[in-house]
Amino acid sequence: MERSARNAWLDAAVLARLSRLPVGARRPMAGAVAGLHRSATRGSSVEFAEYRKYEPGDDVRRLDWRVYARSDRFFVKEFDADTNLRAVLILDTSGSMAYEGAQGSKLDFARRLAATLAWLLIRQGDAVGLRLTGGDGEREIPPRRAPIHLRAMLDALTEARPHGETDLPAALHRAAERIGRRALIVVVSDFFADPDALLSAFRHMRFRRHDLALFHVLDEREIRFDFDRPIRFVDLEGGQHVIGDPALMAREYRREMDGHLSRLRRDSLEFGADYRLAMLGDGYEKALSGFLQQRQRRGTGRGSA
Amino acid sequence: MIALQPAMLWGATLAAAPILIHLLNRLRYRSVRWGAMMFLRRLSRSGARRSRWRQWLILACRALALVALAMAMARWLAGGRLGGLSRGGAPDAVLTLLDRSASMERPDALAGTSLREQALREWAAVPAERVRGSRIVLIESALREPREVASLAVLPSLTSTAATDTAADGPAMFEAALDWIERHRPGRTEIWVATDGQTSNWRPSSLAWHDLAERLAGMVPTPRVRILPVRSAPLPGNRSLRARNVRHLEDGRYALGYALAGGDGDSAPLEATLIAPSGRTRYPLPAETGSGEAILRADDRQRWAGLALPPDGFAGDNVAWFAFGPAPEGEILARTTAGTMANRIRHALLPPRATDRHPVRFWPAPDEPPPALEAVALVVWQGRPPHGAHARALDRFVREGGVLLALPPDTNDAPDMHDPNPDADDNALANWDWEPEESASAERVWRVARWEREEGPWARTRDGSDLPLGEAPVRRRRPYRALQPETARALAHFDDGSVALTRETVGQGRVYALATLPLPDWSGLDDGRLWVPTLWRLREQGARRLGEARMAICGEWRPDSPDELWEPEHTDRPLDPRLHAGIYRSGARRMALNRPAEEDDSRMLDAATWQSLLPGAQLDVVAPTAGRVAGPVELSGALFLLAAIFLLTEAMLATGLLATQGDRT
Repeated sequence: MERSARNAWLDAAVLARLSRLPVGARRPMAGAVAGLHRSATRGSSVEFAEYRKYEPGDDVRRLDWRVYARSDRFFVKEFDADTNLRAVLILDTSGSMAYEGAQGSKLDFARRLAATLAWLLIRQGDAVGLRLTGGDGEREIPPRRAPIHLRAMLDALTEARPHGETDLPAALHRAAERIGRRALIVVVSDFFADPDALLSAFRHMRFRRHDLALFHVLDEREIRFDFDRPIRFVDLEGGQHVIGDPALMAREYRREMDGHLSRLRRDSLEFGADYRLAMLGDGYEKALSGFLQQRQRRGTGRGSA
Repeated sequence: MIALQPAMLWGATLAAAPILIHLLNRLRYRSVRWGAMMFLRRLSRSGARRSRWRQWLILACRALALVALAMAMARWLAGGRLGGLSRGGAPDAVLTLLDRSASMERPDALAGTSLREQALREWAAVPAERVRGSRIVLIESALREPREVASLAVLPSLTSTAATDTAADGPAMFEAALDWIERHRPGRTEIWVATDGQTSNWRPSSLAWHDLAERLAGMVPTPRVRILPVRSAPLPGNRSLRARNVRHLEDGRYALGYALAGGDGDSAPLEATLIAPSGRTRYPLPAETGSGEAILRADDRQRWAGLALPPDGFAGDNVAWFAFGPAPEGEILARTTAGTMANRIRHALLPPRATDRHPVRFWPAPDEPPPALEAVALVVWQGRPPHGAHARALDRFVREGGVLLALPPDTNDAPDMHDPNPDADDNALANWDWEPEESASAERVWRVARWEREEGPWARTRDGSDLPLGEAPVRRRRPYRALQPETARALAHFDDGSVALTRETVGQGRVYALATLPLPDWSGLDDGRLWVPTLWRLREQGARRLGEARMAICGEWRPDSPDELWEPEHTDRPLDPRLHAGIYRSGARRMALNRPAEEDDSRMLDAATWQSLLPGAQLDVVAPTAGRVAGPVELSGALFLLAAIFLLTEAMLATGLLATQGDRT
């Protein structure tokens, strides 16, 4: 892969602006090395976590004698451990991601977003992996912290081709099982799939205690559906077509689309996923900065588990 | 309807433009590579059908808007019922066939005018552009003489379109029209007919229609026929009065025989008026429908009378006219092939014990000159019709008002010297004939089951009793083959439906044809109670032509020569005896003319019958209506409004503002 092609997904100016914002996890992580993120296990950081009843084997140095004096019981004082973050970026490379908006395709948008996010994570010492799921099957690059690892991911992003129909819910189920330890899972897709199946997959990921972030990539026209004459709509995932009169279909199409978006947003938030609608016209930087700022406001994995 | 700017109608072809554009667009739909197909697939199943309907509705709106605009710019006019006469531009000639028979004077309840006036007003209301440059020819039913007029608008004011008391001869009117077309060859011609379509006038069973249809189809260019039927509203309680005959009673009295119809069962006596030279007097009439007699005492100065019903819904059928005076008895001339027939006739006419008189003369042999018929009232002809000079004499006798009783030849008779020869004469009476003889079975004989009881030789007696026709068995018969089947009237039927007695009108006379013989081996009609009144009544009818006073049907009777001057006697107004009922006098002769009984016929032709009369012809029958005639109205404003409505609807459909129920869900 040419170096220029790899760097096509990274914009130095954008990186410079976004590098001021850390990429935080909203849930305790299970990293192997110390890092910026709260660990799922108690450790020795200075952040008090909770009191716990003493159990044989506990380090007696962690007994809180003041509590013992007050209550005549032994309690161990626990502190959160800081660990590094494991992030997995899942990119939908199905045919529908080839949709071309005025500023390029949805897949290019997703590539830039994923590449920038990977750069930011590796820069702050976190491990990043990549899963590409499309009509040609799935490709997986396991999470690594090494900066050289970014190159492999950029190459994979460059080689990704939008093609065919993807069973995204099934792919997400497989990813949920495959990613063993707690991780930040970022899904970038247009989510043109059955919402029940999608939400089931998201629920599966949350059950596996992953921190889930969803980037719903759409073009403005896919929502507005503002055509002025009968159109032959060619399916990007299969080549079949539907001839329709948008003037007649628009009202119902918009109703369906609004229902789909509302349901994904509402149900995602219900079980703690971070849902974000990323419009092609707004650019990936806006979507990423909003995502990062929101994470920063809510705390980087130091809230409740 | 008519277009004042017909060239603008070409603009209506633009209606095809939206359809062509639509079809072209279908060939080149813009393709869009789309990702969110999961929504479109769901919608396309339910929306495809609505979309198709909507597209066609939009197309229809666009096309109709263009058509409406083109019609508006063409300045479309609507001219009442005759608005439909506009297609194809003005013809070279328009022949207007006006039915001015007596029934056309019935009032139109809504318009307040007669049917004839209604029809004339509708013709006059036809826009001038419709017949610009056309020759307008009037052929009215009374005289049937084609007359070219300046325009349709003058028709209502012409005396030749005024009311008459005559009947109409529909086929003859058409024949006159086709004659005119063949003589003048005007080019593209239209025949407009205004009539109430009375069946008795148009005679749909007449064979003449076949010839007319063939003549019409053979014309190039084929004339277009447009029928304008006019209909009268029902006239509840209306009565009609008809003169039947006059009987001379003893001591200077006369019995005026009349027939009363209608009244819808109202039994209150009628305050009729007796019109006489001395003035008008009230004359109460019983309200019973059917035949009756009004008794009148008259001196030598009073030789006519009129009987008028009180005013009702239709005044045209309220008056019956009578002329009377002493009439000679009239001779009977007989010709028989059956030997006993002569005696039957002689005995029926001989007064009891008057054996010295010979009231019956016999027709001479063919090789002799025909007889003098000036004083003859009735000819009884048994056998085949005559030919040559004899046939001509007989024909003239009937046409001048004589009565002929035709009896069938007896098959057992010897060959007749009057059998028709190959050089058949062209007079009407040379063609009568009889069907082969039929014999009843031994078990069952025929009987006369139905017959005309109001008039004719078998009418009721003066005291209202029926003749005992049903008692007379008929064993042998030969059905009569009518001279003019379409006009012949069956006066009596056998119990199996076959005709027993037929009456035909020839000129001013009558031909009565009996299907059996008054002989014992043929029938029981030799019974004196039947045979005597039959002969006496027919002789009396025939004798009317011999007196100074006669009664005839208006339209059927004509003066013997155009030079005869007949003046109305019942009114000071100048009237034409060929057209109007009433009392007319020419010297010592007096004539009572009455409207034809057939004019009371309520059966009218419908559109399907009109079509069947002239199969294959370009025939339009305007929907009948009753009401006021409206003048032509320019429709441009309404058409512009219509176009705007179509365009507005199209816009609402195209922008989705006008959504179907399914669209809103």
